[in-house]
Amino acid sequence: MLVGGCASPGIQRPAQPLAEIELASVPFHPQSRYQCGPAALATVLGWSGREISPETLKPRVYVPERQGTLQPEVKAAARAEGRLAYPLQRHVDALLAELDAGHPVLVMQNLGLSWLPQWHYAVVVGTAATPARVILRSGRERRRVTPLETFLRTWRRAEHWALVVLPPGRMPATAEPLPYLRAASELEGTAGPEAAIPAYRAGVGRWPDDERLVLALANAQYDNGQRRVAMKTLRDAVEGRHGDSAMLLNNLAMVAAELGRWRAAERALDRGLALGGAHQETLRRTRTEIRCMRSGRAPDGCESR
Amino acid sequence: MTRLTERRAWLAALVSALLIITSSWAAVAQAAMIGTEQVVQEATADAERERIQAMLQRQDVRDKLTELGVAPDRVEARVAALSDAEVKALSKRMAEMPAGEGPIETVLVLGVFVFLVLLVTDILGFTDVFPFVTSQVDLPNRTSD
Repeated sequence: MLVGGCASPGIQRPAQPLAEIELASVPFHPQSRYQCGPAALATVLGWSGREISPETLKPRVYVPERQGTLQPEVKAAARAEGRLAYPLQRHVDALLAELDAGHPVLVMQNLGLSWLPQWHYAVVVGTAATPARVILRSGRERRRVTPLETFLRTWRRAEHWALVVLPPGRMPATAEPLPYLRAASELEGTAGPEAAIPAYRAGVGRWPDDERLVLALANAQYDNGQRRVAMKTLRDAVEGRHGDSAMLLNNLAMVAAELGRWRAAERALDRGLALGGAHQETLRRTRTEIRCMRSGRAPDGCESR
Repeated sequence: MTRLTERRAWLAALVSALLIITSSWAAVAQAAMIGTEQVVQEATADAERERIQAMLQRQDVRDKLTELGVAPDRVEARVAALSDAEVKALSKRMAEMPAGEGPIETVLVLGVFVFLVLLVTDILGFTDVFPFVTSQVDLPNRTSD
């Protein structure tokens, strides 16, 4: 069924010819033995404005028994430095779009064969058009130039794993709402709400119709101790384009109540309950809780009644 | 020495007081709030469900199911009825399927088939691979519990 050709099946093709791009300002950290993970991570972190040496990162990401670094740990270590770690769609076009936006791309490659793997992390910093080549910070080479074909094969053997590491607030060129929300929420989990607030805000700016991002932004502001700011975020949203969002109305009611704004809280609940549909149960629970708060009883006591 | 102990005791009291205040505050505050984590989990499960349904729309997959004597619509209905946790377990299992050498498409399709065959045979009660699938068919020798 497969007529033999030069290209093996399954190799991805860029939709367009490669552009001439080189992000020359991306720093370089030559790797020591087996430690391409810390070196590649230090490279993208350095570009994002976090100067950190591979030696510092090594104990956080290097697994001695495996003589290597696991992908989730790379992501976690980037977040621990207060950076958004966004995994790309597993396609070369996503990688090229990020480069085009000026973002270096951390990739995993299998430089060996599937049955004799040699795993490797490197950073794609550019492409050249004729002949098609990919420019990498790789191993001990500041500027490794690899034919596109070879890169695509070695990358495919690592299942096209690719990651951009960005300062919070900077949007990946290929960002999609749900994966972006997930990445920002993971950043919040690792580095705290303050670190994630700019990321959520950028998300709201990019997808103003997505109520989940508004909710996440307000929750982070709230958890960061900025209850008034959180209330304003929620109120602006439900008075603007999110008037039919039960989840935003619910959280608005709760924050308003905590600030002693009982009437605002009741109004939000009325609106939410009038919507029908999702979150009705939560809204009713919130109403009970708020009335308990108002009467000065401990919510625990109310719950059990 | 005594002064040091006193200072320590004072510090411990302060820390525990702070802990009590902050933890009770957080507990009260969070009780009725819809959390970000929760929203992400739900949205992720929805996306996975869509992904599986999209796979079931593929003609080659439908053909294979029909060949196996199973109505694809029935499997679709089944997937739609899975809970969030079940969908997660299912897509985790799919992710764990060998992504070996060879034409990636073949491997993928093969993996999908293996998964679907097992899903279907689970539903029919022939196998019991997925813990969340409860058989819909009463086989003659199967005692109900």
